[in-house]
Amino acid sequence: MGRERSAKFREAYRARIVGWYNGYFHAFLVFATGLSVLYVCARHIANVTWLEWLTVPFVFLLTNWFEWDLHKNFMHKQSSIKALQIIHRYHMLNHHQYFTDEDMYFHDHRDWRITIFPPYVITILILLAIPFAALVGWVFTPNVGWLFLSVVTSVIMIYEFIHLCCHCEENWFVRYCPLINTARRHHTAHHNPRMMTNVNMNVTFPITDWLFGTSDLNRGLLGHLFNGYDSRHVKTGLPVTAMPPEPDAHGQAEHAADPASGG
Amino acid sequence: MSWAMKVFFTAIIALLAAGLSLWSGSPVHADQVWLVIVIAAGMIAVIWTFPRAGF
Repeated sequence: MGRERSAKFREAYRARIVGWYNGYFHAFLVFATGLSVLYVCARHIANVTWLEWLTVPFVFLLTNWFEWDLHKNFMHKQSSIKALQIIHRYHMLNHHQYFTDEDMYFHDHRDWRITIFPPYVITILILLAIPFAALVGWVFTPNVGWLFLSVVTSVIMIYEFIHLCCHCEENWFVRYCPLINTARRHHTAHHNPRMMTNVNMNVTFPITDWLFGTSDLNRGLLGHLFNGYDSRHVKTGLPVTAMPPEPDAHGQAEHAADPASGG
Repeated sequence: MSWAMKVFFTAIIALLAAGLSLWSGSPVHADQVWLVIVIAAGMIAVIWTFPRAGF
C-alpha cells in the first residue's frame, strides 16, 4: 500500500473530523462509561467464594476468543447481515487504510478518532454481555453474573488502552512494558496490508492466535505473551492476500473484490 | 451509526434502565439505581451526539 496512499487517506479522513472533536474527551467518554459500569458491578459483588472467582479466568479467555472472532470474521470479512457491514467498513476501509505497518502511529489526539472505538461501541458490547451475565447470574449465583459483566467491561477498556499503545510513537513505556511491547509488534505485523486478513487477529493478548495457529510467531504460549519486539520467531512463508481496495466516498470498496471474502 | 440504529439502541438502553430501576426483582440495589439511570442517560447522549467521521 505504501506511505503515499496512507498519507493521502489520512489527509482526507482528517478533513472529515468535526472541528470540536477532542481525542482526550473521546477517551474520557469510553473510560468513564467503562469505569461507571465497573463501579456498579463492584458494589454488587460480596463474599466471593473461590469457585465464583473462577469466573474471572474463564470469562477472560472467552473474551479473548470473542475479540479474535469479531476481528477475524466481522472486521475483516463483510458480513451478509447489513447492520454488521458497518464494522467491516470502518475497520478494513478506514482504520487499515489509515494505519499500515509502514506508518503505524497517530500524530496527535485528533487521530484517536480512528484509533479508539466510538464511545457507543462500549455501550453496545456491554448491552450484548448483559443477557449472558443475567443468565449465568441466574443459573449460578449473582456474584458470577456481576463478575462476568466486570470482566467483559474491563477487557473492553484493556483493549482500548493496548490498542492506543499499539498506535502511539515509540517511548520507554511501550518499549519495555511486558505484554504491551508484545502487542505492539503483534499488531504492527497485523497491519501489513497483505497479511491483515490472516494473521494476528488478537489485539490484547495473543492467546487465541496461539491456540488456533493464526499468529505470525512460531512459539509456545508464554513465548507468545512475552515475545516483546523479538522477531527471531516469526514464521516464514505466511499466507498473503491481494492488496485491499481503496474506499470510495461512500465507504464502499473500489476496484477489486474484498480480499477477505476469499474472492 | 444510522438513525434507525440510534433509535434501536436508545430504546434498548431506556427499557433496560427502566426495568433495572422499576422492577421489584431487579438485581440492582436500590441505592445504585440513580447511577444506572445516569449511566443510561450518558450512553444515550453519546449515541446521539458523537460526531461521525470517515468514509
